[in-house]
Amino acid sequence: MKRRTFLQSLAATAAAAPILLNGIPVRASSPMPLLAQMEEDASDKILIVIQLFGGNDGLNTVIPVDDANYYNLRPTIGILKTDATNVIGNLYFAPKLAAGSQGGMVRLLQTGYAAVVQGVGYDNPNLSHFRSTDIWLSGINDSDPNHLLSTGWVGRMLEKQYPSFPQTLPPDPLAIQLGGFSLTLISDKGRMGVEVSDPSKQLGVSSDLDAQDANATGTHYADEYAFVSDIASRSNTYALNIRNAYAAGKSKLKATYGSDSLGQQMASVAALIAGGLQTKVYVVSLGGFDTHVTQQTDPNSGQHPNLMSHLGDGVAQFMHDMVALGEADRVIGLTVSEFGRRPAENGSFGTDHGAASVQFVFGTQVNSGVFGQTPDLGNLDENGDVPKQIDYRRVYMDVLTKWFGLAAVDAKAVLQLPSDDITVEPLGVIKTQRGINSTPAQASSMVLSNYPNPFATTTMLQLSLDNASDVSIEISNIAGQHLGAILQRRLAAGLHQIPFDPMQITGRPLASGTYICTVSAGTERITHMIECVR
Amino acid sequence: MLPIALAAGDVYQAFMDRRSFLTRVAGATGANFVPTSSINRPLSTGLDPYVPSGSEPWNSDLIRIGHLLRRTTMLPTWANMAALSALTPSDAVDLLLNTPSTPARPAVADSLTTNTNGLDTVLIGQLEAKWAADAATLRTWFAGVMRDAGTTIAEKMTMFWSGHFTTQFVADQSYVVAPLLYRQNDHFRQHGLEKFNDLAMSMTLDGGMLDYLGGNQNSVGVPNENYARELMELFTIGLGQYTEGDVKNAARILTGWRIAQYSNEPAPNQIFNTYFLPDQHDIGQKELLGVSFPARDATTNTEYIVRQEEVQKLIDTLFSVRASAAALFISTKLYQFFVYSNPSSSDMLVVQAMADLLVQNNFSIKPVMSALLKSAHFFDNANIGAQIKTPAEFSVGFARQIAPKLNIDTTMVSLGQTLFNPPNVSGWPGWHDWITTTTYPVRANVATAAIAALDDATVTAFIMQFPNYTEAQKLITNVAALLLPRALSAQRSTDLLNKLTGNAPSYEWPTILQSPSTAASNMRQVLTTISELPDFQLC
Repeated sequence: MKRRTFLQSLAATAAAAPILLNGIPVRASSPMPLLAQMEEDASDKILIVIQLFGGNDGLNTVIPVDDANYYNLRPTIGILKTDATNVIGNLYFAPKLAAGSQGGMVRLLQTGYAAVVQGVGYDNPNLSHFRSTDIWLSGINDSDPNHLLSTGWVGRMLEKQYPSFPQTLPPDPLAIQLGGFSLTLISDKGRMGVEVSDPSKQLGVSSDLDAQDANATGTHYADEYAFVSDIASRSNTYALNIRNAYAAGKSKLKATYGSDSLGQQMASVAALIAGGLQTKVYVVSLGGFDTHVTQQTDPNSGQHPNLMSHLGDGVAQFMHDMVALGEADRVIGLTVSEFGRRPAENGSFGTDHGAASVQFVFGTQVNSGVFGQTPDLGNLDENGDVPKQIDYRRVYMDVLTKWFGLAAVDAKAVLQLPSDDITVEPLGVIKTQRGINSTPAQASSMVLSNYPNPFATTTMLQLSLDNASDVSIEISNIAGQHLGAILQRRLAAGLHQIPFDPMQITGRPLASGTYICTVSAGTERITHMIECVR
Repeated sequence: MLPIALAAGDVYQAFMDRRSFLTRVAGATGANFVPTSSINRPLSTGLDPYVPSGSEPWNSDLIRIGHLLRRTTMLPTWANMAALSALTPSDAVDLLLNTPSTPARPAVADSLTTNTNGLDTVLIGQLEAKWAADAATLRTWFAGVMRDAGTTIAEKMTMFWSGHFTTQFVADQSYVVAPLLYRQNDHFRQHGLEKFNDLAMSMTLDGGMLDYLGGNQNSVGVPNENYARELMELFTIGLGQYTEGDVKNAARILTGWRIAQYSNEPAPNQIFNTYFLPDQHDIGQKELLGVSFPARDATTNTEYIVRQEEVQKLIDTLFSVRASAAALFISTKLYQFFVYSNPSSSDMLVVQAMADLLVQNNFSIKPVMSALLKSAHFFDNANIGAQIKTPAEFSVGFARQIAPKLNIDTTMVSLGQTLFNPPNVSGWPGWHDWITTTTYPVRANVATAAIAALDDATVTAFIMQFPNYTEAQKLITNVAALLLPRALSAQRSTDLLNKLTGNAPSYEWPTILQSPSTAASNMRQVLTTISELPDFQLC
């Protein structure tokens, strides 16, 4: 059942009995406050986190085809411009990101359903897989390796949103991890979700539980006994719902998922969503990115190309199903990987651990395009690695505020940033969602489009504003170079037609290529890609 | 299972402890540390020896005898428990530490294969299938060795080291052949209680390790940093004890070593042995942790000299310049493996005592294990039953204790642990990762199916191994002492007794025994009930 339908029926039946909603007891006798609370309770949005373990090679993912340094640093494994796939403008991807019947990540970006963030990382990069993974998954950049990072950013968000968990378990799991349990979903209250490997076979444990050893109070044994009992209880609570949702959803799927691990995980997630499971967060994973040795035999085969294929195709097949099922506007996904790889290849036809890398964000609600500039490979850090341009927590801030509707101050608290921090603002990669208006600071919601696109000389921008705002629209090229301001003034709420003539902004026509329009209004920022073809 | 109300503070105390543990590690010595623990936390924060009390003499203390065996072997048999009850605790530990394990060498240890050069995809597929089949053969062999081992810690130490100095059979589409996996595994079995620094040296030039972490491809001018980093981060001194410059220099020091693993490649030191390629070794000057490794010329760029003056010196540098860090690092892992996965702040005082002892003994593992296993802290009530059984312990233990015909390898894989194939270079994460909403139900199902499949003769033999097995109450007490880590509550004891007798009075049990199929059927119910309990997942 869709959440909205559920709410309507709940309001209609309006009994006086307390009802458990996401584990929060609410009284349905006064439907209006209930509806208001639900709206604030973050709607039915879903987040998919794809963990790429091993450190994805950003420079063989998004190819800097126009940088001679790249080919000097990678004489054997650099991907030639003629082998790379042109996405739009001068954006080039690894060719296998276009693999599969849905055209992979390449077509998603061309369709406007994906964005790529370049130069994403953090200050003082740590080149340990495990520490850097903890930094990414915790959402805390703590450079003291002795400080254990024991909770994840999603876990802490769910902890804040569901204060009565786990004393009261919600009817469906808050979060599902496919594969081994990840730090992403852990909070101070423990695991905020459950682990599933094959949802068609999810089982519970039925056993008579009686009093345990009375001599155990306060022992380590008692802690672990409680942990194991809790797992048994959760497996029992959720097994049937997960199996049923999967069975109901699987028959609705139309996409052709690969037999690889990520393809199968994405198929499971798609089926659970299609089957109506009310889980908010899914974490899936793909390993094998630690490409020290022979990372490819050629740009289209070998270890890293295969991983690109699995990633691009898995996500594209999933999005195909979500669009077909009408669920796409509820779903957003992002990739995380502990680091990129060193620009200079090693002598084993591979690459060692590096620093900043690329990140994908996908869904119909992303501001499609490229965030961040192509890394300057002539300007590496003292270790020979790509420096950070964009803090990795900025996409998390988008998810927390724009997607799940947390107030900015609460989102900062989730990321354990000071409330007055201004260094980790939302990146603007996710569109502001209607109904996520609980934050006074987020009073406005914007949508930008243009026609025609592509265009030869001029195009008409169309901007929709919810609230009157001071608006600026800037234009930059795909490399992030600022070209000028299209508009800077206060606009009323409503729909605005804004002609864009490059001659008036830059004094000359645009060269063929992709350009980025960035709209800023108050604290909000969205981007939109336009394409010039002459 | 009935839902139970638990205070969050009780359930998740473990997570709180984990943070304070780290604070403790960061604080290094912590002499003024005041434990925050309350009731029943370990009282002893050092390695004082355990002395049985008059009210709990060792020879009848099945809980502690079982505890020692659960932590040092792949779960006890009743015969193991009986053997140890005849000794003192100290002699029992000595027996476990001094009994070698010398399994017969499997044929797969010498399985010869070629590399994939020049082969078409069909032949490569066949070769990969052969490697996978050899690895499966080796897994079954190792599982059998663990199942059949006697009163020795050797197999548990082998598991410990194989989760520490990791090698994955298949990672990123690259295979380590079974003969190299076997040699590494047997090295742990034979040398697992010897010196930690010697193990680090052996593993640095170990064939499986060279292949797994890129050492085999590490060459002058274009070093591969993979092994150099993990050697310091994961195998010896730990994060924060070295710089990125040390990683680069260690990688250069380790250039030039190769492993002969295929029948169609050169093998200067015979097949499956490591050799040295002087022209692939970086003879330039290097510096590690402030220690200089001088440049050399061609006359000293030889296998013997480079091994001594660079590889051995690298290991010596790590273990001298970072001696206390290395000692604390491995002591923490030993404690987490053998005592408790999530040590509290006060537990870390014991770990520090282990580290001190390790340095005093030049990194020899055996004296530290001896002191730990003989300590009052190890036998403390707080630590008994506090470990979550690994899939290896669950599966091998189930075969040792209940179902000898259980397919251990298949069971382990279904529970998330494949021998010779940890998930990544940091080994099996352990602790709470071993129980999830997926694997707990699988444990219960595997156990139920295996118990249902036991024939009457096997169950009868299980019953008759216990002394006084005709007395129902004594039988239940002994079965529980074998299979569960702690004493039964009165309620559980009654429940199990009723299952054993089919709700008849206890004195009917000898009569029921006259009908072996009824007795076996009832005992299967007892075993099924026990195997689904939360504490059956603990050891």
